[in-house]
Amino acid sequence: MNIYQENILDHYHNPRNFGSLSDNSNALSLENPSCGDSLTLSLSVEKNSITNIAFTGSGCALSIASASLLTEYAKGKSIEELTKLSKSAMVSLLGIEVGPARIKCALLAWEALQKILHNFSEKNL
Amino acid sequence: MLSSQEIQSLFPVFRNNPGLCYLDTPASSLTPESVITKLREYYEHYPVNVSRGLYTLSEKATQEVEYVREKTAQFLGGSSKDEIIFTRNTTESLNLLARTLLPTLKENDEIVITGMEHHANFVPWQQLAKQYNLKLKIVPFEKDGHIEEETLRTFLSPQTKIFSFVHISNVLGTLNDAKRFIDIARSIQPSLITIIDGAQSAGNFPLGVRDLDCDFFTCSGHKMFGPKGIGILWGKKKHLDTLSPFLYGGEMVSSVSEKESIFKESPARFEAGTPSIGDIIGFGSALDFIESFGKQSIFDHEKTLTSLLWERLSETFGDAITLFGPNPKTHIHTGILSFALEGVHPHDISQILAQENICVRAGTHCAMPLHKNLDTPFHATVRVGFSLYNSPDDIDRLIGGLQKARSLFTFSP
Ligand SMILES: Cc1ncc(COP(=O)(O)O)c(C=O)c1O
Repeated sequence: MNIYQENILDHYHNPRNFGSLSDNSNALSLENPSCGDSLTLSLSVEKNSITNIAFTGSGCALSIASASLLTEYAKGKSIEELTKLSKSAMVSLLGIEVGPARIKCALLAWEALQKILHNFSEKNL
Repeated sequence: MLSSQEIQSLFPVFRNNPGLCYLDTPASSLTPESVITKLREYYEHYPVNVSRGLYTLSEKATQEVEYVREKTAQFLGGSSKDEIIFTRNTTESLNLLARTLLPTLKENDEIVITGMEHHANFVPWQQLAKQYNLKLKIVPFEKDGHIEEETLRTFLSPQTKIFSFVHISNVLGTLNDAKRFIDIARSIQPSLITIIDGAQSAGNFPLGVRDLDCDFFTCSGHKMFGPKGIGILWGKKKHLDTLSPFLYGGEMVSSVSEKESIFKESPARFEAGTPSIGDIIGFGSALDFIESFGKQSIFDHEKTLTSLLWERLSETFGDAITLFGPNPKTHIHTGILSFALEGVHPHDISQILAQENICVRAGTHCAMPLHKNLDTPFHATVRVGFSLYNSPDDIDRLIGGLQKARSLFTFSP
């Protein structure tokens, strides 16, 4: 299957929620060192739900498109809901099959989100 | 020289994968039929251990291994088969050296490497330096991928104990003038140990270890048409017999009592345990394969294809492409060429090429410190490597694939 579907290319060329938030207390940067992807994700949380989310970074189409799709999905969702978002659910958001060579790119933003949520819960226990 | 089609017919992988365009030889070369036949011979006729049995089959296996040892010594331009140690790969050979040379070093001694090393010749020294308070100095390369002699001089000093450097860069395709580097180093510290990472040069560079006059040379069989799982460490006999072993166990000792062990001379001293016997024997056929063409003609073939690719890429993509390493019009650029195409991440390029059955490498090619110094927004590159089985047809297909990638990714608001 060709992973370069219109939707992926669209999110790559016009990433949604691209940028940073003025409040970076819930931000995290991750790298995928072997291929050079890098990404910073930031969230605003109010009453346990994500009121705003943004990312910056550079990388392959898959890493950028998945970050863009994930930020769209996450906005307005609760922390509990997002913590439950599994790897395979993240891949489903992309709507393509992702092989083992590219799975790290597809999950980079998801991994950043999970880490931020984890840190947030620790801080606000 | 045979046509590329005739050469491809010597590699079963092309029969089994029609239309394969393989441009990833720097990672591993493909395997010729003759090597596979030799592997089968071992496993079907005398698949037993070496040195131990006094029976015919074991004698045969031992004889074959020692024959390849002799052949390897000749192939690398060494003087004795006792200077050849079989390891798993270049990485293991270099780690063996780092551990074995450690007892000869003291605090603040300097180890010099270059900024274009593969992690295999980077991380072992970096970790050694950290753990034992040694100084690691890294000689930077110029924008076009060569190392200035003057720069090299300023990084070497009388405190330098080890100078270990890559012969042909697996990213930039630079051929370092090893002989010259070693002469310069010895003029500053006559007794330093020089090590060449020959992973990319052992199978195609005509000069041998005695011409280069290094102390150690390392390479991998799988990048020389040989089986995966066999590597070489060549060293001057005078070092090998005095340095302490790396792995301890059977085969490397001449006698063991409860309190003491006496180690054999090299190469046995450094070959503890059962070696990868079949792979060593198969490697012998890989050396025959290379010699049937000649290292020089392989080197020239690869270099010619690189020049052509350089020209075609510049023509086709103009300012949208950045080509790394020496310009083949003015300098030697070996059969490895890395590049970055504006607006398309290397990973996406390699995936789109893969859909066309074109195999290239994308990423940092086990050379992250090198990529940090490249002028590309992604800090990653696409790498193409040529070998005997490649031809200008592969370049045509590559260019076609890259045009496809570029049109798919050209920004359209
Ligand atoms: C220059 C260089 N050094 C070392 C290595 C490591 O070789 P191996 O993986 O066989 O140990 C490679 C292989 O990629 C290489 O290109």
